[in-house]
Amino acid sequence: MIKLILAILFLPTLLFSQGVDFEKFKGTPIKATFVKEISDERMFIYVDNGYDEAKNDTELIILKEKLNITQETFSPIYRYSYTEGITKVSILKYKVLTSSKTEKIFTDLFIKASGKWELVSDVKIKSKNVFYEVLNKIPLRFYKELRSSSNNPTQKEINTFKNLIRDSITNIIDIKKLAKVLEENKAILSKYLDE
Amino acid sequence: MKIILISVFLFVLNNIIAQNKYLSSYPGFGVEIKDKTVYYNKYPKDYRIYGNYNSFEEFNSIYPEQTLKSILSAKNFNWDKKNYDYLIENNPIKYETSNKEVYFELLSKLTFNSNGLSYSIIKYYVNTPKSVIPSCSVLVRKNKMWYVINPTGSLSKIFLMFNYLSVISLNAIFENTSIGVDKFDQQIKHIYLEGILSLTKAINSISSSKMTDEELKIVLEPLFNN
Repeated sequence: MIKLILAILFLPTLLFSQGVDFEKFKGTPIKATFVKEISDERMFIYVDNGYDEAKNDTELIILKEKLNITQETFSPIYRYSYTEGITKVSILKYKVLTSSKTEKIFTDLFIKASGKWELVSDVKIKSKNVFYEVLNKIPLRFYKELRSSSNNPTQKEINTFKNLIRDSITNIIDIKKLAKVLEENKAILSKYLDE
Repeated sequence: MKIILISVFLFVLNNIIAQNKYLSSYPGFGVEIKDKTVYYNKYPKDYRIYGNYNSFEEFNSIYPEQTLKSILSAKNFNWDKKNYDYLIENNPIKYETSNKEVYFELLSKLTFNSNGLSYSIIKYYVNTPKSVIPSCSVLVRKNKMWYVINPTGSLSKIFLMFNYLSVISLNAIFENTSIGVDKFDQQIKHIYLEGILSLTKAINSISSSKMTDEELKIVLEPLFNN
């Protein structure tokens, strides 16, 4: 009986001391710069015929159903998806043919929580998502220009800040820097951006 | 041995090049690490962890070291696979032969947070009664649990750095000191700007000239030379 009590007392002590032991190995903080690529990111471009992955994107149908738009008037352009922590996020850009036969472009934010995609309508949540903030502004041609390693001579304004937002070694685009550049250069870049 | 080592390097590099080529069709967005801070830890000399958990439920996985202990402790496939963020193969021999003589000697660890996730890279030796094998694990914390992951992109480069460089070299990189090998020390100077480490530069740094065998003995993980 005494042995049993001792064992019960000893076991939690062991577990506790082990946890404390690892706590002291958190490490020394070191100031560092490192733009890490986003986990599980994908860009589905629906308007390029050769893009097989977009053709097989089964989640587009699920997201479209959340929009309450008829199939005939809906025309997807691109969808950016990524994982933030454990939450899946999607930003969908699409065209809608209005009753007056004009095309209107929309960008919507979706979050997959508890296994289900939900359309985010809360403006505050949307404005906190830097990817939504950026992709809401940039059309497909602008995105392609950012990704292009060569400079397009007809889009000088974009070329001038490309190097500011792209890592010179990895070519990774710092999304927060891009958001800042778009905000600070609204007037110069307005002709390239979505309204 | 050197030929084998070079082959390993080439093999890994080829894999990374192929991977980057594949990744080029990906968006390529990224975010700066949280607080622009990494945490570097040097474990005490001969710091060992053993497989002495009795069940997966016994620990809370607050620390990445606990997942490594769980791997050592796993008594069956169902337990073992819970430690990984990818599908591992069933290895009944490992669970049958599991004994207390096998342990991990922890050497150094890098931790940082990015886009809502915590990452940890741990360098260690796998000690068995018959051998000592240098190793490295990359772990991510999500769903309140540290999992071992298959590193891709920049994480695979950090893995290479921790796997193939000696502890002396890693300490010098993260403490901004020198190791007495001029070519390597020059590299360290280039990865710091006004006292701030560029981890991107560090994992992409190449020596300006070829190092001698004697220099490589200091720079590279010594157990790869045995």
